Amino acid sequence: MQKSLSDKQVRLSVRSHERLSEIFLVNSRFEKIAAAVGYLETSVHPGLYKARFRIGQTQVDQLIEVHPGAEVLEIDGIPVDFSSPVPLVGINTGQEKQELYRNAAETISRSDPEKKGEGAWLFLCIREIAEFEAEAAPWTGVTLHDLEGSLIAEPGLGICDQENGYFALHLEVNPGTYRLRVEEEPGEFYEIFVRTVAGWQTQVFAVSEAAWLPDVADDHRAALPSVAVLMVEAGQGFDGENETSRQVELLRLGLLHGRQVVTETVVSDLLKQEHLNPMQVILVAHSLSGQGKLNVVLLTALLKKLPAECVEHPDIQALMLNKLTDERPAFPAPPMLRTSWDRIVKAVEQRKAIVPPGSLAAQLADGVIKTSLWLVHRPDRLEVEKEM
Amino acid sequence: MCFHHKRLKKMKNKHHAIVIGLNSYPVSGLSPLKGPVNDAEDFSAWLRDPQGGNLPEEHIQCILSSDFAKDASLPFPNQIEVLFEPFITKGVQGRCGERLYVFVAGHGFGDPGDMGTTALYAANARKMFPWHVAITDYVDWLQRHAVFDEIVLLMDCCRTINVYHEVKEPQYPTSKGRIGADKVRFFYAFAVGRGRIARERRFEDGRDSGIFTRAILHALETASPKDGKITGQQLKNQIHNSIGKFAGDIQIEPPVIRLDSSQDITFLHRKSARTVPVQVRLEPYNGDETLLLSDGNFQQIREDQAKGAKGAMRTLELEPGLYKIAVKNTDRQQIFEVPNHAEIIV
Repeated sequence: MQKSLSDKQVRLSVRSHERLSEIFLVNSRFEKIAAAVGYLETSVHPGLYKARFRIGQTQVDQLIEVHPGAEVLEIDGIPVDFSSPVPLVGINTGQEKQELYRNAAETISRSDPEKKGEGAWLFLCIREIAEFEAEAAPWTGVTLHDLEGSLIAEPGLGICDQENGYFALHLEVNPGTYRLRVEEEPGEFYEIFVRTVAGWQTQVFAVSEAAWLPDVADDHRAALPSVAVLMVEAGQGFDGENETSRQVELLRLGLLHGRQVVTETVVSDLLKQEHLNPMQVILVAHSLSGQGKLNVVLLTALLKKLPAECVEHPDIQALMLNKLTDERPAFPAPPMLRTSWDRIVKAVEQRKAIVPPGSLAAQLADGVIKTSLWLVHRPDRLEVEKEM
Repeated sequence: MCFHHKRLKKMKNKHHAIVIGLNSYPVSGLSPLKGPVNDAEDFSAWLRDPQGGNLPEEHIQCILSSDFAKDASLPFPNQIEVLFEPFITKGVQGRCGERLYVFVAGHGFGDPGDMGTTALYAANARKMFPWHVAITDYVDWLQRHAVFDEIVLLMDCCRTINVYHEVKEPQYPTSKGRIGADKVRFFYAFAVGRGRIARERRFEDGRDSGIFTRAILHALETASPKDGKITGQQLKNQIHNSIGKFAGDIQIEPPVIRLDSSQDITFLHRKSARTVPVQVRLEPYNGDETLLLSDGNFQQIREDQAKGAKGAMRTLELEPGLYKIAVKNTDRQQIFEVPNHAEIIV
């Protein structure tokens, strides 16, 4: 390799636009020389470099010139226009209706809810994929059920905007676990589990597309495996500029695509905050666990930042299986995350947890689909028909 | 007496290849593809090329949709699996050769319960009878039994998950594997991550190809050698850094490439990288500009005087990498990337 004009190294720092974006630095031979999440600092010889910023499956490159004689070079990364079902500010820029979806989500999530219970709120927002045909109906086949399977809401209860291709529904419900179900084709049902917590609004965002069961349905349906779930304190509603919501969504994308975005620095920064959002705690802890880095000390530190009312959340309880010694917690309701489900199943096998006989969780095993993120269940068709 | 001064490269008699390209799925409801047969033919051509894989023709076992009548729903899984059979049979006894290439293009899917497993739908696949070949299971078996010293798996197919379709383990003999399996060097490259969709398109040469296959072949052809070698790591670097160029207007997702850098494969030996054409346009053009071209270490590698009517546009032949071009005595300059930037305006 040719030598550079100057052997004096330059301190190069690269800050990504998003705190949870991966950064890769490669030299002019495309050899990776450094990698980090959010902020990268290294010493390099003068020359040309490329920084790659990655969020989920989206990445952008930025060429960097490090001049000889410079002491320090600080680079601000260009934004990654990542794709998400959540209409956050500054993403999905190729979608002309992004702002409309955001405004709709902000308005409807703050509107008077349909009352189906008391004390917790659920906001559901489904939009069509970007290149949708006219007459789109992203609410097709979508229903919401309680844990026993009783119907709580059908699309007619919400706003079905065919012209703009979105659906939104705001409910007040009892705290607990709900089943968000989609009928992919006649008699073929799938569902995920959504937890609501007293004093909190759980927000569920989905995109309606054909991709996740490509040869089953030509029609678009809400894609459950890539649903985004946020939680905000009651009364706040959705805010496309909310930094915490943004971070939660980036954590979800990291987990969904198997990216290790939760680094020591990220955890350390989070632990400096007085309180953490419940979804932050859940996703960070599960991400760390997936990397084999979740120890009891770290889990305890994270749980201390959790609002007290969220401790009963099944995904939190599943995490606490790490800590327990004598107690055998019961899981009558399934968790939201597939990794939580795996923990519970393992704990039951080891007699460290109980799934009550006859509970939905006890009935799940045969119909569980191993997605990389959410616990997706394929309920028995006859059971579904009986419920209806 | 006559001496041949030109040395012929010795053929890789201990290298073998299985090449599969399926375009047609007449009874499945899966959309027909245009690229896989072309991809398989292009990869086979690289395998035969003395400057490429340099394999003897008889060591390349190939099965394509075009081998069968149109709408015949062939090949069946067995017709594909039979290509693995000799290696499994010999592999039970011991080592079979130095390197095995497995190239697969067509409609693929991932197992709903197993994150790593990827299969290829056979041409007779149906929704309720998803006939398929568990490609990664075969490759795992061959690795576990150290049948080859090196295994190269290239899968240009989707890895979507369909809950109806589980990947069924092939009918090979079950055994624990052999000592030395951990020494098997591997290069496993998938067009996309689990659950994602691979893409194909019509390229500027009028040929339909998988974007991933184009990127692989281009990387094999042009990657810069390090100490005279093109290793798996260099190939991976080049693919990750150049695949965007082959995607054109299509949104693609990053490929997944796994290798063990502590025991990497050397794909090729060559002294220098092959060059890629890059057009440089001077805008504005006065007719007296001097162009300075530097490499990624700021070493000046070219100084050109622009002259005449054609001076505003020139084509540079450059090895893959990062470069800087500037107009002398002006602040007009540009840094660019080869092969990703095909036209530079300075």
